[in-house]
Amino acid sequence: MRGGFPLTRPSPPRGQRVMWALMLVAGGVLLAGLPYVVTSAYVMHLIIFSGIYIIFALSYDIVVGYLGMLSLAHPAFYGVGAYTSVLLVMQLDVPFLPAFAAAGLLAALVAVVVGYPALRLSYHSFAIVTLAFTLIVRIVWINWVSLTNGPMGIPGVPRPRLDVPFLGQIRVETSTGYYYLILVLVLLTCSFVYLMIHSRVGRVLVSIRENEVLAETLGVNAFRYRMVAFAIGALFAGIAGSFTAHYITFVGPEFTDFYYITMLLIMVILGGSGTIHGVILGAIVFTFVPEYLRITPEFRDVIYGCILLLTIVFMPGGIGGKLNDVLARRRVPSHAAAGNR
Amino acid sequence: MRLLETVDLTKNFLGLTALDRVNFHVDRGEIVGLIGPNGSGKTTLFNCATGLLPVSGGRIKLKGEDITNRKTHEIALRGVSRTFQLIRIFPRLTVLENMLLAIQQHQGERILASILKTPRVRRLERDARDRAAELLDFVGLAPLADDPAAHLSYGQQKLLEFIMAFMPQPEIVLLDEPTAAVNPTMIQRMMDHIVELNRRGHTFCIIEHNMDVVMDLCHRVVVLDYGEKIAEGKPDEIRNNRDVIEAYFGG
Repeated sequence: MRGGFPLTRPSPPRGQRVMWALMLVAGGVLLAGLPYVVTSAYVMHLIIFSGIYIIFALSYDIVVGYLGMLSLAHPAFYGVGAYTSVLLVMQLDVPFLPAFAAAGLLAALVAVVVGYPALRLSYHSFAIVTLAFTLIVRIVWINWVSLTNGPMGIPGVPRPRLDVPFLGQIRVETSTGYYYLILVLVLLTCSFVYLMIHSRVGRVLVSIRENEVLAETLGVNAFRYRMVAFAIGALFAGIAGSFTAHYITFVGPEFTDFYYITMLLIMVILGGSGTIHGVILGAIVFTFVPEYLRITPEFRDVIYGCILLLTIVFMPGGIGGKLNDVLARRRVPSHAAAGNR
Repeated sequence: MRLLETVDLTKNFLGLTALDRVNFHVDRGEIVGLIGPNGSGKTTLFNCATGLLPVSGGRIKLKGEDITNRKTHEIALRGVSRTFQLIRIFPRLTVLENMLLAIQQHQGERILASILKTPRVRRLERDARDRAAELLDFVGLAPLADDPAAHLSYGQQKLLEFIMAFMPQPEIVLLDEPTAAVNPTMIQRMMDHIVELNRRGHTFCIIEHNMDVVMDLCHRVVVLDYGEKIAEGKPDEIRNNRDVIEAYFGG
């Protein structure tokens, strides 16, 4: 759960920067052209879900990895986001984009209300309180039938229509449309998380996690930072939930299922908690792997279990941690050659 | 001028009285030594003064303002810096990152602004880096700025913790055994730094067991025993005080 964090870095030499720029362009072309290369609707569906889970897992890593608190409330925020935008769009005829934003903001607001008492608790009590919250929220979805249609859920959720200035209305209806929408959202989320982690805020969060007494002694209001991180995590979880509902055109109580905790923990821990690229890879790999194991229904769970076990044994820092190690080992000789030490 | 002052400060742990109506003060520009046998309440006094422990009775004042039972970070922001008996640094962060953390929020920054790196935040960050570089240079840790703090020797870590306390431009610095378990050369270095920083206007309160250090450095010495103040005065007076000798060596 604790990775190393490269918080300050010397700027790389020029050749390396050119290489990075080239890789960036290549990556951009690849991402933009993906829908034209992938012909299988099923694979496209998995790619879109990978995008959703990248946002979901990154938001979870803010809380679990950087804040260092085991929150079990994330499926609740996912559900709050989903129901919020669906109800706004279907009951109040709110356009998609404002409803989508409201989904994230309401999830964050709920996080503030839950976090206000919960974040004062110790590690274990916090886990239990957030677990209780998830269970309660699920019960609300099931029992507030007049609002949520109970266990049946709400089918027929309209597909997103984006009112973009100068471009007019964009209707997202095909999987290509959904792909580009989730791509933009993933890029925005990654940029925000990257900026946050590499700003003082990220540094302060790590410091609170490592030694709260010292952080407080240095003038850090630990509680305030915890609240902010918890709310930001909830905001992106809410956004992920909202997108999911408008993509599968359905929302139901299963959005707030404890299953998601298992999934998120696998993605974050095996992906590499505290590394953005690791969590992204974790989300992609652990969206695809269980799907492709469907070819052997009898051994599916056994093989999946073995994969998880082997990953954690051979890559205790997750995929991201392993990558960091490999890169660091490659970097050492060049450092020595430059007489850096 | 009274910078830090306690009035009848009392702290009970269940049945045990760790501090018993202690009246204690540090004036601006002073180096005050706080001594006493183990368990006499010295660190407890620091912990109460920095808000880490709630007090049981009495008041604590900073520049005349009542800060009794204020939150730790609030007291820190008002200008009280401290170090700990057992080194507290962030071992997995680099030396420079440790230094930069020591200035968090002291400039009243906003969280969103610092994520988005507004020009103001960039400028503050640059100022903090300059200040960190200057202070690291002062204690001779500048060449190690990008090393993880865990890679430093014990004495260097002690120096890092010491100099971190000056990042926020504190009113007063509370040092809890700054020379404990470090070698004689390092003790001398630490003493030189304290004297120089005091000359530049910093105020100190030091818990110390090494009597040579206390006698050399301190302008005034306060002695605690079983939570009570048993003596106060110039180092020479304390050295020959009967009660103090008795407390240390047993009557």
